[in-house]
Amino acid sequence: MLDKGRISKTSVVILAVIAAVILGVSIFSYQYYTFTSRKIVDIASQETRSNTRIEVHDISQILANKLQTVGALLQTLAEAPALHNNEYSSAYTVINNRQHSSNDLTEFYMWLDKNGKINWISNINESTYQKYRGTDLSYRPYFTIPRDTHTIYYSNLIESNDKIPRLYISYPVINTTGSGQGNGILTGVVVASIRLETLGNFLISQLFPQLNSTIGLLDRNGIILYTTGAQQYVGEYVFGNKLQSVLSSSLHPPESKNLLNDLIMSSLQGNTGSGDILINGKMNTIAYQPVVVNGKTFLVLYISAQHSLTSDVSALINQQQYFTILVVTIIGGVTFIIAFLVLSWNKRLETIVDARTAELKTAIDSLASANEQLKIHDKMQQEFINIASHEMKTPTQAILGYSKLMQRHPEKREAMIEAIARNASRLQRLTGDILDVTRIESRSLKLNLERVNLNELVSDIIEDYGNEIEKSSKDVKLLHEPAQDKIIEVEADKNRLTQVISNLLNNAIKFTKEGTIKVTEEVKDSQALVSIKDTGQGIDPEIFPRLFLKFAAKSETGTGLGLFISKSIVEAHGGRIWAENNYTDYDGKKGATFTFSIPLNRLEQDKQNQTQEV
Amino acid sequence: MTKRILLVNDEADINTTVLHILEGRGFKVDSYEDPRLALENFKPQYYDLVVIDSKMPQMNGFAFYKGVKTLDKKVKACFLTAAELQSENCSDDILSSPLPANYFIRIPIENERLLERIDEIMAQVK
Repeated sequence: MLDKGRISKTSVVILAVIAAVILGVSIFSYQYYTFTSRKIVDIASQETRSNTRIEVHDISQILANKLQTVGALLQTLAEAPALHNNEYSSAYTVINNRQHSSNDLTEFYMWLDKNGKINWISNINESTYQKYRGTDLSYRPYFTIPRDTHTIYYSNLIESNDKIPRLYISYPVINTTGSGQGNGILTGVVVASIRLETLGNFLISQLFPQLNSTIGLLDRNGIILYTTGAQQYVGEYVFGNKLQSVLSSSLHPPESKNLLNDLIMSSLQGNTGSGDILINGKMNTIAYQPVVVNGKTFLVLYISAQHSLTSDVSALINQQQYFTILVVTIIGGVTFIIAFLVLSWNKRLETIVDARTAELKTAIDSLASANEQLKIHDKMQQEFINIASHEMKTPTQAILGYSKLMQRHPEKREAMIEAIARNASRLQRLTGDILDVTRIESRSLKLNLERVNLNELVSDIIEDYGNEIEKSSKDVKLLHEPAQDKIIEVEADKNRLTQVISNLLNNAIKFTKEGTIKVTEEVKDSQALVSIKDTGQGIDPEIFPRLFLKFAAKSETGTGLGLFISKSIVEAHGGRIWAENNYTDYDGKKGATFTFSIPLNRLEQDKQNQTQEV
Repeated sequence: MTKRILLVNDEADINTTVLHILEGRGFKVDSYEDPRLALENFKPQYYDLVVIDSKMPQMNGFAFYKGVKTLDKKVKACFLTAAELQSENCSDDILSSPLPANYFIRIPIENERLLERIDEIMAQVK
């Protein structure tokens, strides 16, 4: 798992920016889709609107054509010679044929005589004919108006004797065959009857099936002739109390009723148009157009279409919108996760690079330090040459000088010989030291191990040095403090061990003008310890850190190799050498203490343990 | 007139031999093993030459030279050196400019040759 704590501040900012961009894109796409959806809804509404208008236009044209056809049929009927000549049986056939040609709309054709009484009704059987024959319909406008005007007549809604609402179209039969008196005299009227129900069905059959629409038909006076699914209102005046109260209770919101009334008012004035009306939460386009026959408005047709396509489109767009937001969110989320992973990876990479850089830095540092070491070594080499040169040339010069002077000063011969010998030993010591260093550095320092009694060894050396100190006029006491009741034996190279102790004693004597030099032996942690403690000037802090390195000389009369050689000898024995300055010394003197350790061999260890047990 | 030489060398044997050699030639020699003491007792306008050991534990030979020169601008000086490297002959951190090579007498040196060098220096070095 990824460790969140490892993500840096910058990474958090980057992630926040990504999150903000995702949010921004989501909001933008939501807004964009909302905008687009409105646009598309508008377009769809526009489509519904124009479709409705087209439909109302088309259907009103069809209806007008149909009615005109019926009118034309009536005209040809009125001009038929059989009717003029009162040739009944052939007149009946002609009338029946007319009905046959327009039976998709008309219910029947009727022939009235000049007094408005029924001569013939198309396709009627004998018994019915006998029942209606001679029925006086002279009071009906479809008789009186063509009779008086000699023109075609399109009726308003008429409730017939059988209570069936119908429309009638009538045409006067005028005698034109003869000449003189009989010419131009009305001999009857032909009437075509259209049942409102048939008219309605005809209209319905003309509707575009794709458009979810209903149809309405008013006559020119505002009487309802047909309305889809509400035939109970047929015959009602559209602005009458009954219908208005029905509209008030069924239309929500209330202002929709006013809009509807305005629309109907406009339509009854012969206008063509459309309007959008919200009906019970759904938008509807109502388009209207007058049905004009022979230049006169006969009916007004209404088609109402719900914006269902619009809501379908809208729903689809909403779906698309949600889908898009989901996709954006998923893409955003994935981006976020990828960014997170990349940043984490980056962080890990950074850590690795840091580690590598640190390694490189360490390498560079160690190279630099190696370089420094080389420089130091180089300097030490120069130092060695200078010291060695000085140490060789000085006694050589002395020997050279004395040997010549001896001849001129025979009285000082003895002293000069002694001086020559002293300088020769100095040269010998130097030669020994240089050889030792060479052995140490070439790792060819060999130890001749033997069993050495440490107490005895120290005692012997101290005796020699004691004599030497006595000879010199120094006020220094050399003390020996051997381990009590114990014989410390070690496996060591006796000569080399002597060299170490002598060197330490030499140094102590050299730096101690007065006081004491105390040599102690003891056993501690399976190690034989030898300490040389003086009351001299102590170790110079400048020299302390490189005390056991080559040429760490503070005195000018030394090679600075002694302690280096001593350390190498002690370490070759498996021991350790160290030095410290004394701070709480006797006589209030400071001084230094040099200590070295030589490991006890196993035999000696056992012996020591036994002694301790005793 | 007897020439006076101040000899400063921490090595007693060198001091002794050089003293004998110079005195054998008739110089009046004052010798010191401790340069600090020598500087303390220095008498300006007294010595004709100061012979200094370049490497002394108490005080570097060049520091001593500088000290002497502040007390006596005109005094002549030379160095006895056992150093192997030229760098030892001049000490940049003490003296502003390195001293010329003929200021230095390299030991070991034969007694006669030493006297020749001293003569040369007495004659040349200003």
